[in-house]
Amino acid sequence: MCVEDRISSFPDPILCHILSFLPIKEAVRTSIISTKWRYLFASISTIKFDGYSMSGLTDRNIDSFKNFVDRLLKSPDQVNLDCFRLSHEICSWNDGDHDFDISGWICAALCRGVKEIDLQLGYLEDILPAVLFTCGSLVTLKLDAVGHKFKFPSDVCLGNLKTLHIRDSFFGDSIFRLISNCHVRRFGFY
Amino acid sequence: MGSTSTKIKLRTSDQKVFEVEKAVAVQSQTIKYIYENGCPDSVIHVHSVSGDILSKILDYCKKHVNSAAGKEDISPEELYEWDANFVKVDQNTLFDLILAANCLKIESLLDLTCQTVANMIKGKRPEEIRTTFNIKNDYTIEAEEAVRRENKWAFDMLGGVGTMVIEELADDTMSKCVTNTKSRVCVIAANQIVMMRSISKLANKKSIDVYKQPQNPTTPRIKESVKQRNVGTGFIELFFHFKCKM
Repeated sequence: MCVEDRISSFPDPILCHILSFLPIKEAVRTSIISTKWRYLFASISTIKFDGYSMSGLTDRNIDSFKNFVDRLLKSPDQVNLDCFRLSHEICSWNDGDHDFDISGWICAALCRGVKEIDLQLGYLEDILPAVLFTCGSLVTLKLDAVGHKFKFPSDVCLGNLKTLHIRDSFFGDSIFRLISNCHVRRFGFY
Repeated sequence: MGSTSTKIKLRTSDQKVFEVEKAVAVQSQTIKYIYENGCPDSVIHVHSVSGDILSKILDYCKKHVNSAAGKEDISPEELYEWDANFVKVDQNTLFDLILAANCLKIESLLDLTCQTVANMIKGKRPEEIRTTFNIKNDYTIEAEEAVRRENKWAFDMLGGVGTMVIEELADDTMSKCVTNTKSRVCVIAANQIVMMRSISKLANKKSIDVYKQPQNPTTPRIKESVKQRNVGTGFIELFFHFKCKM
């Protein structure tokens, strides 16, 4: 152990980089460590909402979670996002009572120049915004749309896309639009 | 000439000079930039890095360059092991490595060292984190409460509202309670323990955690605030929430 507190004097970008390696719930909890750490989590470049971070959500705190995501993604002066990942647990809260704006969150992530999007949602039909398929910053796209018909729009153009993973989907001929319009190097179909 | 092993000279903050193969040195984007945009024969100053730290960093760079170029017969797993051992150092050295990797722009080393620090934070309560890094808690009580409120979802440990049924109830009333509740936590009063088994079965179906009321309600790790609500004839539900004091 250091005799003094060296870590709190690291430049903010380094601390944010460290927090990016933590599950998001733990990253947010670091806000309580000291006043220096209060808002660091808001600048992390990797946002992953998976089963672990969603466990412990209840009716009582779900609004707090929703507000958190809105603030995190839609704040205007934020850094570029590296990775945005949603898994299916989030869908169980996406009912009439709670009004999660998943489509809006994806748009917000795209506005922040996100490089990797990984959506493991049970259904994708109404959720994928059209701008997802014309996003110039996207390098990796992973979609898990279990058993649903899935169509790429005709004007799909993902100039920087290098890796595409698709799982459990039926996408028909529309996949060829994607392949012809983009320079994908790595495909994964599961 | 065109020697295949061009050397670059580096001088550290404590005036030590290292002569390194170019391929190794340019793992650092900073050194690469200086080399390509300056006079190739001159010595490059790495002002903010000491000799000891640069020596370690150069070991890292050499290992990774050799492994990538196939000069060294090392599997990805072995390299991963090597990296894991590389960061088994005291905290001061680890922090020096982070700052140097940042300054020299060596992305993989920065990721490795930051991940190591993240692992030291993961799973710890705030008090433990503060002890690990010798951080002083400078929050006032009010400010700390405000922070917990701001991101309630991340701080709630036991998931919020608990329903405790305290009256003498018929089985079916209690079952109705459990069936209709939106809570994730159910606490059975000490004098209702006989009901516990039938409630547990029902509760498990709804993924509700069932707890026994602590004998001593002032257990230090549990802070409870109690709000009484009369929900119908014959019984009172007490709503309260558990907060694990972190």
